[in-house]
Formats: sequence, structure tokens, C-alpha cells
Amino acid sequence: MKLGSLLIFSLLLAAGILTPAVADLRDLGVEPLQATVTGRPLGLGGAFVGLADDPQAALYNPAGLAWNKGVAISAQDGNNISVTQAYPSGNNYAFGFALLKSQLSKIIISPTEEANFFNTTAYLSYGAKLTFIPWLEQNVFFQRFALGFSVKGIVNQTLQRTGQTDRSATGWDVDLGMLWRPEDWWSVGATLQNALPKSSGAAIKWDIGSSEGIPLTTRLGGAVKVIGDIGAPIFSDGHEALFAGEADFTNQQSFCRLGGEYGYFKTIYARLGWQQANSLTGLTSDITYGLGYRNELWGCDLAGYREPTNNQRYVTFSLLYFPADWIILRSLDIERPQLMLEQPIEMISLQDNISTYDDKIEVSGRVKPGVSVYINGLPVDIGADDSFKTVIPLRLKKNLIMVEARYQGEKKSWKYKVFRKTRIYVPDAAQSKNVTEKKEKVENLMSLGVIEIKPDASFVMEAGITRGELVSWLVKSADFPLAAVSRDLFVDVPFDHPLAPFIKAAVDRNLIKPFADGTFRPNALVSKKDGDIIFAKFGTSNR
Amino acid sequence: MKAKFQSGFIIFVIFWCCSSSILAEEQEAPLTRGDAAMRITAADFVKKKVGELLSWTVGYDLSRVNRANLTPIINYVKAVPKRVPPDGRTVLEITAAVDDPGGLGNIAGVRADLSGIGRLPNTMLVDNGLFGDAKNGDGIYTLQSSVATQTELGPKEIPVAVANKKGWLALAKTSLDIKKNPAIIEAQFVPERARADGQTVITLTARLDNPGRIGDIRSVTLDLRGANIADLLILRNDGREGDMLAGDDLFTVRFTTPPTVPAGNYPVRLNVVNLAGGFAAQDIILKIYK
Repeated sequence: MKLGSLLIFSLLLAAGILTPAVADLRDLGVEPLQATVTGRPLGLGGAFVGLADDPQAALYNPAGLAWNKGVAISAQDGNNISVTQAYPSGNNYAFGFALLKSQLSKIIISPTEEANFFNTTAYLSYGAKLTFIPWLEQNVFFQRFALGFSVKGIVNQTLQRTGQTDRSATGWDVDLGMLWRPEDWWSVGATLQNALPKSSGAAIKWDIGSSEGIPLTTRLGGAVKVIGDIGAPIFSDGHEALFAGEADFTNQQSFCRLGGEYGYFKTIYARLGWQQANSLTGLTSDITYGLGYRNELWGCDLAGYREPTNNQRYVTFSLLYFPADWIILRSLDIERPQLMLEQPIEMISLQDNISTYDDKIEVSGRVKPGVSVYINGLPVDIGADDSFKTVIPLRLKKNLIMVEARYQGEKKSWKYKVFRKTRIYVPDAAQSKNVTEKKEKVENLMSLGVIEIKPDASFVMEAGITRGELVSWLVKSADFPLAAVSRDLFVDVPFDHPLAPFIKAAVDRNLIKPFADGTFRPNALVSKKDGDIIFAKFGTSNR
Repeated sequence: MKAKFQSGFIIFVIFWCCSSSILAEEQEAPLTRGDAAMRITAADFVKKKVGELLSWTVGYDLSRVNRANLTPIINYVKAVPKRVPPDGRTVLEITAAVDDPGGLGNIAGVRADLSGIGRLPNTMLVDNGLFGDAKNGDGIYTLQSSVATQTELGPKEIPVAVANKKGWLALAKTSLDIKKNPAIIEAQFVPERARADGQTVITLTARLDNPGRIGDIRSVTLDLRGANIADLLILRNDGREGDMLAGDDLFTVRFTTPPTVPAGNYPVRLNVVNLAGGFAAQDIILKIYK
């Protein structure tokens, strides 16, 4: 933690030292080398420095490349296009490439004066964790910390201004970034965009002979996934809520950006953002919004925002592709562990949804050398052949099994849902009609706690049900509150009768009546006729 | 025609009576447990509860993770001695006291990673009463090894892993210090000041520590040349000639100073050499008066 604070402080210190001259372009509200043509970051209000978790990281925080892979193509029209790529090495570092073509038209300077700005910029980026240094390999902090840089070159830049000669420029500069992800659910990041001073040669050189330094922007951000999968502060199966924030500092102004994202089963995403930006008239702010879709191999994003420079609304569309053979961490490129039951699997509705009567399940798999496996948070023995096989006891009803493969602070995890059904034996199955359906219903009621017999016990389906037993089933299934019984209810139901609270609850609700002689007869069998009356009151018609 | 109607009516009455009787009998028949279960689950609110029970998208939260302790238990792990020379011969004994929720019979194996001391990364500890293990089946697993000669000096960790037959693992570690040089804990002359008369017996007692065993100290000498006495005395640890007990960590020598030695404070050097090639030295002040 101290080391992280020190690094953030160093970046801030560097920001103070490396402040370049004010750029002429700022007069127009134009941020040279500023990337905005991206779908998801725009949907989040541009607050992406502390998140940087997709292939567009190169444009915002190159350190994020260490965790990312894929290609993204974004466009809002034929003149505003970006292509970004994060190519992972498979060993905690990745190379990035980006090409950005942007055009800002009709920037109104005064009623008689306007400007157009065209820019094409290429990025070459690198992001890595420092764990390739042997003495940092096992350091927990550095396993979750990455640094990165981007070298940006202006391929072509043109400024057209009413009454002035068109000016073209070339130039280059460097972005520096850091990203720290101590947990899967939160991260902080910082970048120094255009970090080099003009004296180093990093500047925009106009064709009319002048040159100017590219203004430095220091960006600090963070992201928190408040609701999410296992590990998030609030666990939710299939729902995610992420919040990102960012503060940008230039030598003229400070900006704030905020964004939120809701994810549904890691497939559908909705985003809302708020961003401040510099414009010709000063600081402006506006709402951004976005939608996204993701699957294992590809995704797409749509974002709407207002361009502060010319005060026009735009919609950006991004298409993302995540090649399956691009591996972020090769050691964790392992197959999903298998679940095996001693008895034949009763039902598999989806890949990980298993319904069984077994009281245990076996998880087996194979990992790569050095990878450790944890199941439900407990370490698993890995054999000499890098395989494992573990037996997990199952509780009745729902079981969630978490399998994690861990390597150098990173992990790959799988979830398995297993439903352990309550089993009964029906000795009179041959005499019973619809025995399969009845057995299933009884097992369900046992799982709900309505029918209380021991698992694997016998259940005589065709035996008559007593009044006491029926009352207890009805009261439990309806979740009627049970009052304490302090005096005898009936002649044959003393206050300490095990069924007294259930009988009281049923009689109070007029579900069942006592006999005229003042008895309840809990052990008497219920006739079908009486059953009809009781179930009519219970809300179940005769079948 | 009338007769036909009458007979038909009689048949109808008989049928009605029979069917009423059968129906009444049916109604008086007991409700079976199976039927009761069917009718309870037909209620809408019970259907909803059953739907939630069987749903794959509801209720699978962290509370459904079985947190039962299934892993073996490591009560302690220790390495003896704690300081070991990298000589490849000093016996290092690692012991681990283990247990398991399923009983000791459920332990599949205990392994130690000795790669830090130049040995195999997957060395088995045994609980069979052999190879240094004190007692068979007592849950205390033992391993005897040594530190390889090329091992770097300094603290080393020995991770120990215990696996059970259900495939669960418990991890623990112990540490030891790879040291080559012996240490002089204390050294003292008795009496503190001695007369140089050739008769007063001076006893030097030195308390030493040696990585591995004290018995692996090769020599302990006292160089008196600092006191103008051309003599190199050997300290003993054999329980003889002033040494109290053989084999302990106290080394002793007795000597006298000749009258030719002038009065004064003389630094004399105590040297210790062990079998691992380690060395320690310390200057002690010998106080002489006339």
C-alpha cells in the first residue's frame, strides 16, 4: 500500500515538473492527441483511466494493456474512426497499437470566424507488470500493479481557420500510465498524457515554421465494482454495478468525469456518464450514455455524447473482437474442471447446473505447473502430473461450488451450481398411481421443509394421512406464524403436544374444525371428503 | 310400453343408488399422503416456492458455498537444528504434527519442499517409525535431510504440504538459518586479573554456538601472543582438566603466565573453527599484574 502511494505521489510530482507551455490549440478548445472515438469509455463519461479493462486501454491508460487483449474498431462517421489493439504476450505484458482519425468541424470562434481541425494519430503502446523482474515475481503488490507507456505520433494534423492560411503539423509525445488492481473489484490508475516537455523534442511542428509543446494532462482515476461476482462487496449472480471516476488536471483547468455501468449476466450493459471538458467558451459538462454487448469472442458498444468543441451530439459505435488464441496469462490458460458424481448425473440443464441425489461431488482437472487450485476457498492437492481430484460434500438443496486457479496474483475462476435433492424410497410404488409425479412433489416438499422425514427414509405414498400430519404440512407450506401454546387446546391436544402450535394455527384460520365433542383427534385419518373441504379453504381446488 | 318404462325406471333407481353408494364410499375413503402432497403443491404460493427452490438463477449466493473445513490440520512444523551449516552432512530433521477431520487414516501424504536448501522439492515425510521417525502412526511425520554444500547462506523457508485422501491440502512452513560460522557467545577469564608469577592458574571458559551440532567444532584455540607469550592453547570440551562437562557448549583451558610477562592489559585472541569451514574470532583482554 505504501509503495502504491509512493508511485502515485511520484507521478503527481512528475506532473508538476514536466508542465509544458500552453498550446495555441487550447484557444480553440481542442485537445491535440486527445482520444474520444471509443464506445465504452465514452459511455462511462470518459472515466476510464482507473478502469482500462478493454482493448481501448492504449488510448487512456497503457498500463491496462497488461490485463487485456483484443481489437476494437470505433466510428462515429467516416471522418472519426479509431482502431485499437491489445496483443498479450501470455506472460503479464502486452503490446498495443492504435490509429485514430478525428475531425472537428465548424468550431465557431465568432459569428464571422470558424475553424476546422483534422487529426490522424498513431499510438504504439506497451503495458506490463514488473513481475518479470525475478525479485518482484512473488511480491503480491507487483503481481497486481502494471506500468505502461504509449508513443504517439501525429501522422497528419491540419487546422483551418477563417481568414488564416491552413496549417498542417506533425509531432509526437509520450503517455505514461500506471494501474493498480489490488482486488478484482476495484482499481486505481493514473496517466501523464503528453508527458514529455517541449525541450525533449516532443512537440507539434507546424508547416509555417513554428512549434509548440503539447499540453500535459494528468489523469487520476478509480473504478469500483460494487455489485458483482464472487469477491465483490455485494455478491449478485448475474448482475454487476460498476462506478468509475476520474479527475483530469491541466495547467489551465481541472476536469471531473464520472460513469456507471450496469451489467446483466456479463452480456448486456447499460452505461451512463457525466463528463466535463474544455471548450471555446470555457468548462462545459454533459451527460453521456451507452449500451454494450459482450460474449467470449466479440462485443459491441454504442455511446452518445456531446462534443464540447462544436457543441454537437454524436453517436459512436465500437466493434470488439477478442481472439481466443490470444492468451493474457498462459499459465492460467487451462480447461474448465470437470464435475463428476459417483452415481449417474440426474440432470444437467446447463453446463454447470447439476441436479443430484448424491451427498458429494468430485471436481477434477489439470493445471499448468506452478498453478494452485482452490475450491470454496480451500487449497487442493495438485499431483505430480499437475492434476487434481477432490471430493466436495453437498448440503441439501442449493450448493455453489467455486473453483479458482491461481497464479502470480491472477486467477481464473469457475462457478458450479449443484442442487442436491432430497431422496425418499416409496415401498408401495407398485400400488401407487402417478408415483413418479407424487414422489417428485413429496421430495420438493421435503426440500422446502414442509414434510419432515429423514433423507433416504421410506415414504408410504398410499397410506392415509392423519389430521395432525396434514395440518403440519399445510401450516408449514403456507408459512403461517406459529404462536406459543400455553394451555391445552383440546381434550386430546395438550399444550405440549408436538403438533399443538400447528393445530392452533390451522384452527385459528378455520382451515380445519375440531369435533363437536371437544376433541381434535390428530391421529384420525382425513377422509377425501374432509380433504376437499380443507383444500378448498387452503386455496387448492380438487384435482 | 308402460312396463318398459317401469323397468327402465327401476334400473335407473338401482343404478343411482349404487353409484351414490360408491361415491359415498369413495368420499369416506381416507386421503392418502401422496394425494395430500399433490394437492398442497397445487396451491399457487407453494408452486412459487417450489419454482424458487428449483430455479438456477435464484438463491445461489455466497451462503450456498460449503465452508466446512475439509483440509488436513497442521498443528506444527519444526526444523531441528534451527541453524544448519551447508555441509551436506549435518542432519536436519523436519517434523510435522498433522491431523485430519477424517482421522489420521485419511492423510494421504506429507511433503516438504527442500529446494531452498538444495534438495528435492517434493520430499516425503514419514510416520512409519523408521528413517528417524519416532513412532509409527502417531501423526508426527518426520524427514531427515541435510543442507547441500552449494546452498547460499541466510534464512530459508521450508514449505510443508499435507494432503488428504479427499484431495484437500494444508500448507505450513518452517524456517531455518543456513550459517557456516560458529559464534562466541561469551568468554571469560577467572580470575579476571591474574598475577604473573608462573603459579596462578587462569581459567578461560568460552560459551560457543555452532550451526548444526556443537560436536562439529573442530578446534577452539587461545592465541597468547598478544600477551607476549608464544603459545597457542587448545580449549577442551571433554570434561577434563578444568572442563566441567564433555560435549556441552562450554570450552575451557587452564594456563599460567610466566613471571617475565610485564603487568598490563593484553588482548588475546580466541579462535573457533568448525568442520564446515566456518570461523569465528574474538579478542579478550587478559589483565596481568605483578
